[in-house]
Amino acid sequence: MKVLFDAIMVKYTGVTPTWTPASVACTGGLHREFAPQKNVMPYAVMHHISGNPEDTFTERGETYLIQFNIYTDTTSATTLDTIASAFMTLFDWCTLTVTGYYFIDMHRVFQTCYWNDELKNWTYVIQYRIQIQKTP
Amino acid sequence: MAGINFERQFKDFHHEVMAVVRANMAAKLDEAGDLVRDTMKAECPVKTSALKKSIRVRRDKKGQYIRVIAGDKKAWYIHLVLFGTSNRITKTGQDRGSTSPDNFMQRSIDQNIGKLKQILGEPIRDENNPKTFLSIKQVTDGDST
Repeated sequence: MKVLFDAIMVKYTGVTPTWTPASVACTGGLHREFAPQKNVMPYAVMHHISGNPEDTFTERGETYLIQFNIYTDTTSATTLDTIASAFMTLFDWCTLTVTGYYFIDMHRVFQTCYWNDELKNWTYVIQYRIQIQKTP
Repeated sequence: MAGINFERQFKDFHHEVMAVVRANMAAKLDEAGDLVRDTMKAECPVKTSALKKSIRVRRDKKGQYIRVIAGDKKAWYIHLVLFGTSNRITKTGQDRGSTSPDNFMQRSIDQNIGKLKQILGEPIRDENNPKTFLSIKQVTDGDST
């Protein structure tokens, strides 16, 4: 679903791009599905967890579950919390411009964070449910 | 008057009605839980099978909800499977790549959402007579007060 991820990326960077607080705080950038090798933390990765068609007789709806993973390698969780807050401020109930679709809503459904003792980094997980409808 | 009769009948037979409702709800929850558990086991990534073995269903004592649980002491790493990990750099500096999230729990619900709605949305039936829907008339059958 390239158009959806493109819309998220535009929201993240800003249209011009003007760089939003989330993109300024997350210096390693936002990547889709995987980050480049040896990418410097902190960085964020967005994942497509699942999607469902929600069709009626005349309307073609789509629901997506999108996950942002934010990684920081500092022992303190301050940077992690700052970036996570910036992401939530930016994306909670935001409006995306998805080419070929009416945008319905984007709402946060779940978040958690944990310290990965093996990799020695923090992970902040934020999941969003996005609803869009195909334009005729 | 019909309204008063109905109210009296319902109060008189409240326990019988609720017994049928509870039994029905418990059976539906069991069916829904088993469906999600079976799909979760099929979708679960298997390497040592510890994670697959940890998937289980637990019903609360009052029978009001059901939980499908994954992860235990052996399968402690479930959060890393569900939500993914960052790139792993070895001591020699080699990048071994990241683990993408494999949220098989969410997927097993999404796959069965239609079936779950069907199971939980079915009309309540009397377990002693599964072909009939529950009604006040049926519960109060033989009593015309």
